[in-house]
Amino acid sequence: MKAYNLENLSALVVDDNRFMRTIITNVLRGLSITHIAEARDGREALEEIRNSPVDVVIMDWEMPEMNGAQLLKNIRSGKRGINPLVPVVVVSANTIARNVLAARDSGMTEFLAKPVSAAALYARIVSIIENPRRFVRTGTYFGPDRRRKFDPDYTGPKRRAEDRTSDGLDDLDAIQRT
Amino acid sequence: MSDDKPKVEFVDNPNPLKDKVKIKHGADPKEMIAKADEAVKKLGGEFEKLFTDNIRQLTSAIAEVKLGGERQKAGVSVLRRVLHDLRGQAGTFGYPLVSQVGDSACKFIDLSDDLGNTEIDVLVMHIDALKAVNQSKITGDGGPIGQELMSGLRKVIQKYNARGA
Repeated sequence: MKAYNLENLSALVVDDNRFMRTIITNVLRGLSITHIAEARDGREALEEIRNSPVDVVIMDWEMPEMNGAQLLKNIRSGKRGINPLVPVVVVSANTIARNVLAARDSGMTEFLAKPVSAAALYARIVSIIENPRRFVRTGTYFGPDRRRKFDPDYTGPKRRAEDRTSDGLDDLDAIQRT
Repeated sequence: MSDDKPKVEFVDNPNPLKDKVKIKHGADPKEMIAKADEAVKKLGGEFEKLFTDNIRQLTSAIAEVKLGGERQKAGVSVLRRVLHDLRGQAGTFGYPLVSQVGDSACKFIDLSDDLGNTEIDVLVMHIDALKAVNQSKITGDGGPIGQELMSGLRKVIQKYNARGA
Protein backbone atom coordinates (compact mmCIF):
# COMPACT_ATOMS: atom_id res chain seq x y z
CA MET A 1 0.00 0.00 0.00
CA LYS A 2 1.26 3.48 -0.87
CA ALA A 3 1.69 6.30 1.64
CA TYR A 4 -0.50 9.30 0.81
CA ASN A 5 -0.37 12.80 2.15
CA LEU A 6 -4.04 13.35 3.06
CA GLU A 7 -3.73 16.80 4.64
CA ASN A 8 -5.75 18.55 1.91
CA LEU A 9 -8.79 16.31 2.36
CA SER A 10 -11.94 17.40 4.18
CA ALA A 11 -13.80 14.70 6.05
CA LEU A 12 -17.22 14.62 7.69
CA VAL A 13 -17.76 12.19 10.56
CA VAL A 14 -21.40 11.34 11.29
CA ASP A 15 -22.27 9.35 14.40
CA ASP A 16 -24.83 9.85 17.15
CA ASN A 17 -22.31 8.61 19.72
CA ARG A 18 -19.92 11.38 20.79
CA PHE A 19 -17.10 9.03 21.79
CA MET A 20 -17.30 7.15 18.48
CA ARG A 21 -16.98 10.46 16.64
CA THR A 22 -13.93 11.25 18.78
CA ILE A 23 -12.34 7.87 17.96
CA ILE A 24 -12.77 8.33 14.20
CA THR A 25 -11.69 11.98 14.34
CA ASN A 26 -8.51 10.99 16.19
CA VAL A 27 -7.74 8.32 13.59
CA LEU A 28 -8.23 10.84 10.78
CA ARG A 29 -6.05 13.43 12.54
CA GLY A 30 -3.40 10.76 13.02
CA LEU A 31 -3.57 10.12 9.26
CA SER A 32 -2.86 13.87 8.83
CA ILE A 33 -6.37 14.97 7.80
CA THR A 34 -6.93 18.31 9.51
CA HIS A 35 -10.24 19.53 8.03
CA ILE A 36 -12.71 17.38 9.95
CA ALA A 37 -16.34 18.27 10.63
CA GLU A 38 -18.62 16.30 12.92
CA ALA A 39 -22.36 15.72 12.76
CA ARG A 40 -24.54 14.07 15.39
CA ASP A 41 -27.28 12.96 13.02
CA GLY A 42 -28.41 12.86 9.42
CA ARG A 43 -29.88 16.36 9.44
CA GLU A 44 -26.68 17.95 10.71
CA ALA A 45 -24.74 15.90 8.18
CA LEU A 46 -26.83 17.12 5.23
CA GLU A 47 -26.45 20.69 6.44
CA GLU A 48 -22.68 20.28 6.61
CA ILE A 49 -22.44 18.68 3.15
CA ARG A 50 -24.53 21.50 1.67
CA ASN A 51 -22.51 24.27 3.26
CA SER A 52 -18.91 23.03 3.27
CA PRO A 53 -16.74 21.19 0.81
CA VAL A 54 -16.64 17.57 1.97
CA ASP A 55 -14.33 15.10 0.21
CA VAL A 56 -15.31 12.01 2.14
CA VAL A 57 -18.15 11.14 4.51
CA ILE A 58 -17.58 8.58 7.25
CA MET A 59 -20.94 7.67 8.70
CA ASP A 60 -22.56 5.41 11.22
CA TRP A 61 -25.45 3.23 10.07
CA GLU A 62 -27.66 2.95 13.16
CA MET A 63 -28.73 6.45 14.13
CA PRO A 64 -31.98 7.75 15.63
CA GLU A 65 -34.44 9.77 13.51
CA MET A 66 -32.60 9.82 10.17
CA ASN A 67 -30.76 6.49 9.96
CA GLY A 68 -27.83 5.65 7.72
CA ALA A 69 -29.95 4.37 4.84
CA GLN A 70 -32.06 7.54 4.81
CA LEU A 71 -29.01 9.78 5.01
CA LEU A 72 -27.23 7.92 2.22
CA LYS A 73 -30.28 8.05 -0.04
CA ASN A 74 -30.55 11.78 0.64
CA ILE A 75 -26.91 12.25 -0.33
CA ARG A 76 -27.24 10.18 -3.51
CA SER A 77 -30.41 12.07 -4.48
CA GLY A 78 -28.21 15.14 -5.05
CA LYS A 79 -31.09 17.39 -4.03
CA ARG A 80 -30.59 20.89 -2.61
CA GLY A 81 -27.00 21.36 -3.66
CA ILE A 82 -25.60 18.11 -2.33
CA ASN A 83 -22.80 16.46 -4.29
CA PRO A 84 -24.29 13.02 -5.02
CA LEU A 85 -20.90 11.57 -5.96
CA VAL A 86 -19.23 12.20 -2.61
CA PRO A 87 -17.52 9.02 -1.36
CA VAL A 88 -19.26 7.53 1.69
CA VAL A 89 -17.68 5.04 4.06
CA VAL A 90 -20.34 3.31 6.16
CA VAL A 91 -19.02 2.30 9.58
CA SER A 92 -21.10 -0.20 11.50
CA ALA A 93 -20.79 -2.78 14.23
CA ASN A 94 -23.74 -4.60 12.70
CA THR A 95 -22.01 -6.75 10.12
CA ILE A 96 -24.74 -9.25 9.32
CA ALA A 97 -25.06 -9.69 5.55
CA ARG A 98 -28.50 -8.07 5.41
CA ASN A 99 -27.11 -4.87 6.91
CA VAL A 100 -24.08 -4.72 4.61
CA LEU A 101 -26.24 -5.38 1.54
CA ALA A 102 -28.67 -2.66 2.62
CA ALA A 103 -25.76 -0.20 2.84
CA ARG A 104 -24.49 -1.31 -0.57
CA ASP A 105 -27.93 -0.93 -2.11
CA SER A 106 -28.32 2.54 -0.60
CA GLY A 107 -25.19 3.72 -2.41
CA MET A 108 -22.25 3.35 -0.03
CA THR A 109 -18.74 3.49 -1.44
CA GLU A 110 -17.01 1.40 1.22
CA PHE A 111 -18.01 -0.53 4.34
CA LEU A 112 -15.95 -0.59 7.50
CA ALA A 113 -16.74 -2.88 10.42
CA LYS A 114 -16.47 -1.54 13.94
CA PRO A 115 -14.37 -1.77 16.06
CA VAL A 116 -12.43 0.65 13.88
CA SER A 117 -8.69 0.38 13.36
CA ALA A 118 -6.46 3.01 11.78
CA ALA A 119 -5.15 0.46 9.26
CA ALA A 120 -8.66 -0.48 8.11
CA LEU A 121 -9.84 3.12 7.75
CA TYR A 122 -6.68 4.11 5.86
CA ALA A 123 -7.19 1.11 3.54
CA ARG A 124 -10.74 2.29 2.73
CA ILE A 125 -9.52 5.82 1.94
CA VAL A 126 -6.76 4.43 -0.29
CA SER A 127 -9.30 2.24 -2.07
CA ILE A 128 -11.43 5.33 -2.81
CA ILE A 129 -8.36 7.15 -4.18
CA GLU A 130 -6.99 4.30 -6.25
CA ASN A 131 -10.10 2.47 -7.39
CA PRO A 132 -12.85 5.01 -8.06
CA ARG A 133 -15.94 3.31 -9.38
CA ARG A 134 -18.20 4.86 -11.96
CA PHE A 135 -21.73 5.60 -10.80
CA VAL A 136 -24.80 3.76 -12.00
CA ARG A 137 -28.36 5.00 -12.28
CA THR A 138 -31.18 2.50 -12.61
CA GLY A 139 -34.87 2.89 -11.87
CA THR A 140 -34.26 2.04 -8.23
CA TYR A 141 -30.61 2.82 -7.53
CA PHE A 142 -28.07 5.58 -7.85
CA GLY A 143 -24.59 5.04 -6.47
CA PRO A 144 -21.21 3.50 -7.15
CA ASP A 145 -21.27 0.53 -9.50
CA ARG A 146 -21.96 -2.45 -7.30
CA ARG A 147 -19.92 -4.65 -9.61
CA ARG A 148 -16.38 -4.27 -8.36
CA LYS A 149 -14.93 -6.89 -10.68
CA PHE A 150 -15.41 -7.46 -14.37
CA ASP A 151 -14.83 -11.13 -14.93
CA PRO A 152 -14.86 -12.15 -18.61
CA ASP A 153 -15.52 -15.73 -17.53
CA TYR A 154 -18.58 -14.78 -15.43
CA THR A 155 -21.37 -17.28 -15.97
CA GLY A 156 -24.00 -16.11 -13.48
CA PRO A 157 -27.28 -14.37 -14.25
CA LYS A 158 -27.02 -11.11 -16.20
CA ARG A 159 -29.49 -8.72 -14.67
CA ARG A 160 -29.05 -5.51 -16.61
CA ALA A 161 -31.18 -4.83 -19.68
CA GLU A 162 -28.01 -4.00 -21.64
CA ASP A 163 -26.47 -7.33 -20.74
CA ARG A 164 -29.11 -9.31 -22.56
CA THR A 165 -28.32 -10.52 -26.02
CA SER A 166 -30.37 -9.22 -28.91
CA ASP A 167 -31.79 -12.65 -29.69
CA GLY A 168 -34.08 -12.35 -26.69
CA LEU A 169 -32.57 -15.03 -24.53
CA ASP A 170 -33.57 -14.70 -20.94
CA ASP A 171 -31.18 -15.14 -18.04
CA LEU A 172 -31.85 -18.86 -17.68
CA ASP A 173 -31.10 -19.49 -21.33
CA ALA A 174 -27.90 -17.53 -20.98
CA ILE A 175 -26.79 -19.66 -18.03
CA GLN A 176 -27.58 -22.92 -19.82
CA ARG A 177 -25.69 -21.92 -22.94
CA THR A 178 -22.46 -20.88 -21.19
CA MET B 1 -38.28 -12.38 -20.36
CA SER B 2 -40.12 -9.07 -20.66
CA ASP B 3 -38.45 -5.83 -21.72
CA ASP B 4 -39.53 -3.87 -18.64
CA LYS B 5 -36.07 -3.84 -17.02
CA PRO B 6 -34.92 -0.30 -16.30
CA LYS B 7 -32.24 1.12 -18.52
CA VAL B 8 -28.87 1.55 -16.88
CA GLU B 9 -27.07 4.85 -17.13
CA PHE B 10 -23.40 5.11 -16.24
CA VAL B 11 -22.01 8.30 -14.75
CA ASP B 12 -18.28 8.98 -14.78
CA ASN B 13 -16.70 9.52 -11.39
CA PRO B 14 -14.17 12.36 -11.69
CA ASN B 15 -12.45 11.20 -8.47
CA PRO B 16 -11.45 14.61 -7.07
CA LEU B 17 -9.72 12.91 -4.13
CA LYS B 18 -6.88 11.81 -6.36
CA ASP B 19 -6.12 15.43 -7.26
CA LYS B 20 -6.07 16.48 -3.61
CA VAL B 21 -3.67 13.88 -2.27
CA LYS B 22 -0.03 13.29 -3.03
CA ILE B 23 1.99 10.13 -2.80
CA LYS B 24 4.71 10.41 -0.18
CA HIS B 25 7.52 8.75 -2.05
CA GLY B 26 9.77 6.70 0.15
CA ALA B 27 7.37 6.93 3.10
CA ASP B 28 5.94 3.87 4.77
CA PRO B 29 2.16 3.92 5.36
CA LYS B 30 2.77 1.82 8.46
CA GLU B 31 4.28 4.90 10.11
CA MET B 32 1.14 6.95 9.39
CA ILE B 33 -1.04 4.14 10.70
CA ALA B 34 1.09 3.81 13.84
CA LYS B 35 0.71 7.55 14.44
CA ALA B 36 -3.07 7.25 14.07
CA ASP B 37 -3.11 4.26 16.43
CA GLU B 38 -1.21 6.34 18.98
CA ALA B 39 -3.79 9.14 18.65
CA VAL B 40 -6.55 6.66 19.43
CA LYS B 41 -4.69 4.99 22.28
CA LYS B 42 -4.76 8.31 24.11
CA LEU B 43 -8.52 7.82 24.46
CA GLY B 44 -8.03 4.54 26.35
CA GLY B 45 -8.56 6.13 29.78
CA GLU B 46 -11.83 7.70 28.67
CA PHE B 47 -12.99 4.35 27.30
CA GLU B 48 -12.26 2.62 30.64
CA LYS B 49 -14.50 5.18 32.38
CA LEU B 50 -17.25 4.82 29.77
CA PHE B 51 -17.05 1.03 30.00
CA THR B 52 -17.70 1.17 33.76
CA ASP B 53 -20.56 3.66 33.22
CA ASN B 54 -21.98 1.34 30.56
CA ILE B 55 -22.00 -1.57 33.01
CA ARG B 56 -24.07 0.57 35.41
CA GLN B 57 -26.47 1.47 32.60
CA LEU B 58 -26.81 -2.17 31.56
CA THR B 59 -27.52 -3.21 35.16
CA SER B 60 -30.30 -0.67 35.54
CA ALA B 61 -31.68 -1.36 32.03
CA ILE B 62 -31.96 -5.11 32.63
CA ALA B 63 -33.84 -4.35 35.88
CA GLU B 64 -36.33 -2.34 33.77
CA VAL B 65 -36.57 -5.17 31.24
CA LYS B 66 -37.58 -7.57 34.04
CA LEU B 67 -40.52 -5.30 34.95
CA GLY B 68 -42.27 -6.00 31.63
CA GLY B 69 -44.70 -3.79 29.70
CA GLU B 70 -43.69 -0.29 28.66
CA ARG B 71 -40.76 -0.25 31.08
CA GLN B 72 -39.42 -3.37 29.40
CA LYS B 73 -39.63 -1.65 26.02
CA ALA B 74 -37.67 1.33 27.28
CA GLY B 75 -35.18 -0.94 29.03
CA VAL B 76 -34.56 -3.02 25.90
CA SER B 77 -33.98 0.13 23.90
CA VAL B 78 -31.29 1.31 26.36
CA LEU B 79 -29.82 -2.18 26.57
CA ARG B 80 -29.53 -2.51 22.80
CA ARG B 81 -28.00 0.95 22.37
CA VAL B 82 -25.39 0.47 25.11
CA LEU B 83 -24.48 -3.04 23.91
CA HIS B 84 -24.22 -1.77 20.33
CA ASP B 85 -21.91 1.08 21.38
CA LEU B 86 -19.76 -1.30 23.40
CA ARG B 87 -19.38 -3.82 20.58
CA GLY B 88 -18.36 -0.98 18.28
CA GLN B 89 -15.78 0.59 20.58
CA ALA B 90 -14.27 -1.98 22.96
CA GLY B 91 -12.16 -3.81 20.38
CA THR B 92 -10.37 -0.59 19.49
CA PHE B 93 -9.11 -0.34 23.08
CA GLY B 94 -7.89 -3.89 23.53
CA TYR B 95 -11.16 -5.46 24.68
CA PRO B 96 -12.16 -7.70 21.74
CA LEU B 97 -13.98 -9.99 24.16
CA VAL B 98 -16.35 -7.14 25.06
CA SER B 99 -17.02 -6.54 21.37
CA GLN B 100 -17.79 -10.25 20.92
CA VAL B 101 -20.11 -10.44 23.93
CA GLY B 102 -21.83 -7.20 22.90
CA ASP B 103 -22.25 -8.49 19.36
CA SER B 104 -23.74 -11.75 20.60
CA ALA B 105 -26.19 -9.90 22.86
CA CYS B 106 -27.24 -7.44 20.11
CA LYS B 107 -27.89 -10.27 17.67
CA PHE B 108 -29.89 -12.11 20.33
CA ILE B 109 -32.06 -9.03 20.95
CA ASP B 110 -32.48 -8.43 17.20
CA LEU B 111 -33.66 -12.00 16.64
CA SER B 112 -35.99 -12.18 19.66
CA ASP B 113 -39.60 -11.21 19.01
CA ASP B 114 -40.53 -11.23 22.67
CA LEU B 115 -38.48 -11.17 25.82
CA GLY B 116 -39.77 -13.68 28.37
CA ASN B 117 -37.94 -15.05 31.40
CA THR B 118 -35.77 -17.37 29.30
CA GLU B 119 -34.63 -14.59 26.96
CA ILE B 120 -33.97 -12.29 29.90
CA ASP B 121 -31.82 -14.99 31.53
CA VAL B 122 -29.73 -15.19 28.36
CA LEU B 123 -29.24 -11.42 28.38
CA VAL B 124 -28.35 -11.42 32.09
CA MET B 125 -25.61 -13.96 31.33
CA HIS B 126 -24.19 -11.63 28.68
CA ILE B 127 -24.22 -8.70 31.10
CA ASP B 128 -22.59 -10.82 33.81
CA ALA B 129 -19.84 -11.72 31.33
CA LEU B 130 -19.27 -8.03 30.58
CA LYS B 131 -19.17 -7.28 34.32
CA ALA B 132 -16.53 -9.97 34.79
CA VAL B 133 -14.39 -8.50 32.00
CA ASN B 134 -14.80 -5.00 33.43
CA GLN B 135 -13.97 -5.97 37.01
CA SER B 136 -10.99 -8.17 36.13
CA LYS B 137 -9.81 -5.92 33.25
CA ILE B 138 -9.62 -8.88 30.89
CA THR B 139 -7.96 -7.51 27.78
CA GLY B 140 -7.17 -9.32 24.52
CA ASP B 141 -8.91 -12.64 23.99
CA GLY B 142 -8.83 -13.16 27.74
CA GLY B 143 -6.85 -16.43 27.56
CA PRO B 144 -8.51 -19.46 29.20
CA ILE B 145 -10.94 -17.25 31.15
CA GLY B 146 -12.03 -15.49 27.95
CA GLN B 147 -12.49 -18.78 26.14
CA GLU B 148 -14.54 -20.11 29.02
CA LEU B 149 -16.77 -17.01 29.02
CA MET B 150 -17.39 -17.16 25.27
CA SER B 151 -17.93 -20.90 25.13
CA GLY B 152 -20.37 -20.61 28.06
CA LEU B 153 -22.39 -17.97 26.16
CA ARG B 154 -22.31 -20.01 22.93
CA LYS B 155 -23.64 -23.05 24.80
CA VAL B 156 -26.44 -20.99 26.33
CA ILE B 157 -27.50 -19.69 22.90
CA GLN B 158 -27.23 -23.12 21.28
CA LYS B 159 -29.39 -24.55 24.05
CA TYR B 160 -31.87 -21.70 23.56
CA ASN B 161 -32.00 -22.25 19.79
CA ALA B 162 -32.52 -26.00 20.27
CA ARG B 163 -35.61 -25.44 22.42
CA GLY B 164 -38.06 -25.21 19.55
CA ALA B 165 -36.31 -27.85 17.42
